[in-house]
Amino acid sequence: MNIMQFSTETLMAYVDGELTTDQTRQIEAAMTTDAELARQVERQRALRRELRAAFAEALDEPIPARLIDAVDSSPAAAARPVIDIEAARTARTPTLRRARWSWPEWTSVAASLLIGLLIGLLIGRTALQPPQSSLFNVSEHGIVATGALVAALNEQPSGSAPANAVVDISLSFRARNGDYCRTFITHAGAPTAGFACRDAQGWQIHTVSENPGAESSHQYRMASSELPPAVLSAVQAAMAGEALDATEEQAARAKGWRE
Amino acid sequence: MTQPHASLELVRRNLVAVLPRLRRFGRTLTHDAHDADDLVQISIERALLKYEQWRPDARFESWMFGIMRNAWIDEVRARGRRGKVLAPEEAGMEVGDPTSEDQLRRLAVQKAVAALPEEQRLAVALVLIEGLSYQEAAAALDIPIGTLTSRLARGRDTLQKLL
Repeated sequence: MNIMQFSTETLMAYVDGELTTDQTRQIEAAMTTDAELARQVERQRALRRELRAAFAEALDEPIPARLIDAVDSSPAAAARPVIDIEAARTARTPTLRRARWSWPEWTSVAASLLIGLLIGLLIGRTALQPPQSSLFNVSEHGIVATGALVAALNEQPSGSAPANAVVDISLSFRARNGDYCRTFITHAGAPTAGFACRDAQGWQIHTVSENPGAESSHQYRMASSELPPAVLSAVQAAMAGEALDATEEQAARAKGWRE
Repeated sequence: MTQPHASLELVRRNLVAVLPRLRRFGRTLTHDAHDADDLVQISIERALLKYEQWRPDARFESWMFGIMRNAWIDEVRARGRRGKVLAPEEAGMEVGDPTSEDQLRRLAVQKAVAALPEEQRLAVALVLIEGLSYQEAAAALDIPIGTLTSRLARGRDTLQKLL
């Protein structure tokens, strides 16, 4: 068939999820009859997979305490002379470097302190609200949904929350890597909006944001359509194709939101 | 309505959420896990100093990747002055004893990425590994989208040939 109708740039843009729905349909239709085209697309996809696999380890390792400390430091404290990577590098002994790469120093005491700190960061240290922290679990892998939030992400159809629900789910979509993702707004404590994607470990929270428009003194209930701009733009950036319709959503739910 | 300022707390919260990804991006930049964490630390400090510059309608990690890229450029310049730029042969991260096929393969991919010219490596890292859109990656690197896509295409070509 006629492979020349698509430039290399177009094929790359297709694999990167950058084409319009129409262009995507054209390529996918052509791939069904053009084996060479399908092979080229698969090569590009394989490269993406390999690259992600080669650098995946960084996502699974415990986060060094010094980075958590840096997040928690005051901006003024950060104004001290900038760390010099080369100097830091020279100061590290080879044995220490090797040991830290394999198993970072990680005692259970340090780990529990760290998790306490992260939960504080997550929900705001000025207003520690247990109902909300019961929806998120912070670990060295990131933030994972728990409790009622998991139940809602797993079971609740989009836009169907009763008036007094703890969690609203407004839409479901697929991320560029194929994972299923859903946007949520929680109403336990200060309203929090974000989206979560289902991977092998569970529902990973990607973006969380407080409702920037809500005054804490007003008990506004964020409507599903009122996702903060930060969350909306993150969703748009993460989404491959269109949001799932009700039928697609039900099919995804039936599969446990995993392929 | 004026654009709301990002609060320091919100920036901190987002930082915690994206730390694993900052570390991964650091490794594609520096080829060394410890240099990468040093770079992440410097970038966190810079982000906290100018947290008000993040606009909540922009994706947080894109903003951070931009800060990391600038911090890295400063670092490379400083290294250049000291004449201590890493040679590509030294590049590649320690991954323990590379016994399995998979590990060897991952090491080979890491080395191939490390050998790419810096500008192609950044485009590959942001789009193919971090999954940013073209628009976000171009913004993080402060270059036009056309420049980004041509660097990305060249980087991909080289990697396909090497691997």
